[in-house]
Amino acid sequence: MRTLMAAALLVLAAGCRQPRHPHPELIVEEPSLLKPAIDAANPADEEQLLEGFYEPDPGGWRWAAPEFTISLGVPGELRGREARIECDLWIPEAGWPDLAGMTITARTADRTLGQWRAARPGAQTAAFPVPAALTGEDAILVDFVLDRFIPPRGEETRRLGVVASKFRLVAAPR
Amino acid sequence: MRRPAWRDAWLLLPALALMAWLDWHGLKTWFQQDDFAWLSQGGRIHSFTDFLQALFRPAAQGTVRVFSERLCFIVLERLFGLDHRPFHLVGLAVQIANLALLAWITLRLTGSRVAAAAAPAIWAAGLGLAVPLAWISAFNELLCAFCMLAAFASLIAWLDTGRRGWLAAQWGFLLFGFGVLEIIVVYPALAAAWCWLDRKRVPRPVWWMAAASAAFAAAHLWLIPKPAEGTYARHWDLSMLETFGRYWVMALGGNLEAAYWPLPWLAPAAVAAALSVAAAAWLWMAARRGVRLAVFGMAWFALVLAPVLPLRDHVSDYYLAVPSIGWAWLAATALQAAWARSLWFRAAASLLLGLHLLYAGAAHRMTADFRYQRGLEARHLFFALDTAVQLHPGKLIVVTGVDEDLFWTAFFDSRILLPARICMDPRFVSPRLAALSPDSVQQARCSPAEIAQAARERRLAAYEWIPRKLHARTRHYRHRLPREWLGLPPAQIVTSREEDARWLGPGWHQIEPGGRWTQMRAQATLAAPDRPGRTLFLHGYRPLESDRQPVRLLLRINGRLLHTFTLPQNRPDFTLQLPLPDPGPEPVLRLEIEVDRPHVAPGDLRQLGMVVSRLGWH
Repeated sequence: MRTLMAAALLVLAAGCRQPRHPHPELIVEEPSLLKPAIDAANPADEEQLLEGFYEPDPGGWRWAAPEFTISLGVPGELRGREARIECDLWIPEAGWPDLAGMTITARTADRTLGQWRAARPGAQTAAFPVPAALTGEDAILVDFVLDRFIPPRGEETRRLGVVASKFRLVAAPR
Repeated sequence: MRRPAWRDAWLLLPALALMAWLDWHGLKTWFQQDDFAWLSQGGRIHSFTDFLQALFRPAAQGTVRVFSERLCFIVLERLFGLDHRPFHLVGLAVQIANLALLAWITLRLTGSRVAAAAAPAIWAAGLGLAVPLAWISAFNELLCAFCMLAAFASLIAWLDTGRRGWLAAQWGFLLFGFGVLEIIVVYPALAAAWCWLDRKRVPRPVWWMAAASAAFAAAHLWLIPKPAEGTYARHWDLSMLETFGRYWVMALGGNLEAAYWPLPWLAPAAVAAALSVAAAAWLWMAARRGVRLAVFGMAWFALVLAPVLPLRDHVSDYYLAVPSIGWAWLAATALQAAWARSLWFRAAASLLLGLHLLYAGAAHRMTADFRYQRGLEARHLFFALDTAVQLHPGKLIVVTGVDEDLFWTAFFDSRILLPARICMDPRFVSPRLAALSPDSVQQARCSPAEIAQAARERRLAAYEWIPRKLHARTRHYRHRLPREWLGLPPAQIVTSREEDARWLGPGWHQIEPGGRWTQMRAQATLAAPDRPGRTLFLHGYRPLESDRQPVRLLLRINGRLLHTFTLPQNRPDFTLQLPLPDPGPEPVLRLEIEVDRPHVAPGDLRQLGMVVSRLGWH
């Protein structure tokens, strides 16, 4: 009996202590490479819409709040070079009375990239210059701030900015 | 007296069935809270001295529970690591032995199989056992119950047979119990109470046990410092009566909130009141009729509870685990007496007992299930953090999104098992959590200087806890760091790192292996401490002087002398640790290091003070 117990203890001591293995299922890591062009309606790009985007509407478009933030990857060919962020957006006719003359300011953490003023409703593209100093890393995070928005009204409780659909980081025009 | 036999083992079935039903989840609960501190003991043992320190150094409110907390965790962690199941198997085995002892004692003293089956079942259903069976750190309650029941069974056998072996066994369980849980000190009082009830005299060996208990209690009270304030402060006043009342109501009627009452129209306090009236009536009758176990049951409940009554602000359901054995005897003997009377008595006793089991059992089950759920959360968070540490070795890990409950269940204590600095961002600590336990929260959060330094040096990994998963947020977190943080000087400087050179003022020589030489005087700039209680440290080296004369080191902060320190004369390396003064209005901390004698190295014409490898505060 004693021998059996000693053997059992030996087996326990030798074999039961499991090393700690990683549990990747408990962690969602950031993508190591971000896309330089994203589509707000594409669920695969969701990770790069960091703040200020509402759930997609049934029509497929997606409202952004008056402040929203995105991240874009900096491809190798743009590293350390001047670039430009282009944002495809849509301003509905119905919202124009509130948004007329709206200005969008794009900023990184410590500098302003530029401003763009909406001259009319409808689909259009806003562009903001990115200096070479900001393209040295693998990603750039940009805050967009609108000076006007559609306030909550009736059943609509959200503060609506613009319908932002696509963002891309491209080489600056020569 | 009936002599129990193996064929009476079936008497345990109701209790085992209740335990299986009530503690099904509880017995699968993962580690939480203090468990992590006990699990970490093994990692700090590198020598026999460490081992002795791990066993005997007071911890957790000044307790020294050698067997139930120290050895148990050290051995099982060494054998099984972070597998909670062997811990629960040991607890379950001890509890089954407890139930068997309780049935054996009850049958032996009452001769009633009804009482012998009822007492373990009533105890098993009680609220007091929910936490000890679920939370591994409360295993001491189960082991203490074993020591007390086994000692009492030995007392009964000694009184019956007069064999000294039973007396020795009783002593053995008492002495072992001193290393299990402090409430064992009341055991000699229990033994004396039983001897007086049974024999109308207290044998001398019981007085000797009382002397040993008194010596243990005195040593514990005087040698080991006890908290003078906070939830573990002791209040030796009339509040003890109120505390007794709270435990009594909790033992009889449970502690469920209104939304969870088994019968929505019947409050637990009403159940406790009805049971109290019945218990008082039965106690009066039992005293007149000489039903010793009923009277002893009440004495057991009161005496075993007595040591925790001064803890007015720490009323905990699991403190009822051992005292409830007394209640089980009181109720089981009442049931036995009712069983011998008319159908009306049987019905009334069954109704009251049924209400007790319903209310206490519901509270027990809910408590056990709650612990189980917390254990699941703790497990997810711990292994997620462990994975983050493995993915980002050497990085500072900043976590947001941990709520108050999870902070206490897992975050605060589990970090001790992980080989990385893991902390919370001070901006996202809830004010309620910070107010509840400012010391713990301060320990768990990083200073802005530490976070900013890690961000600058690209050794920051930021995560947000969204229940069941950690989500990496490093890019976004860095983007949102306050600009004023990024300009802060560091909290710690490694003098041999080029990137830290900008924080070194005049008086430093070039980088060499292991650090930099100072001149007679050198300056460094650190961030001002973010809170009181920070400690300044300095790792240094100065070759021993051939003339053996002492060398003095002066430390000044913002121009004021903080400390004068004589360098060790028997070894060249040293680490200096000093409490920093509370933060003042200065945004930075200018540290000046000065030695009173230069070091002369043959062939080196520089003015040499000492080598500093690291300095800073933590």
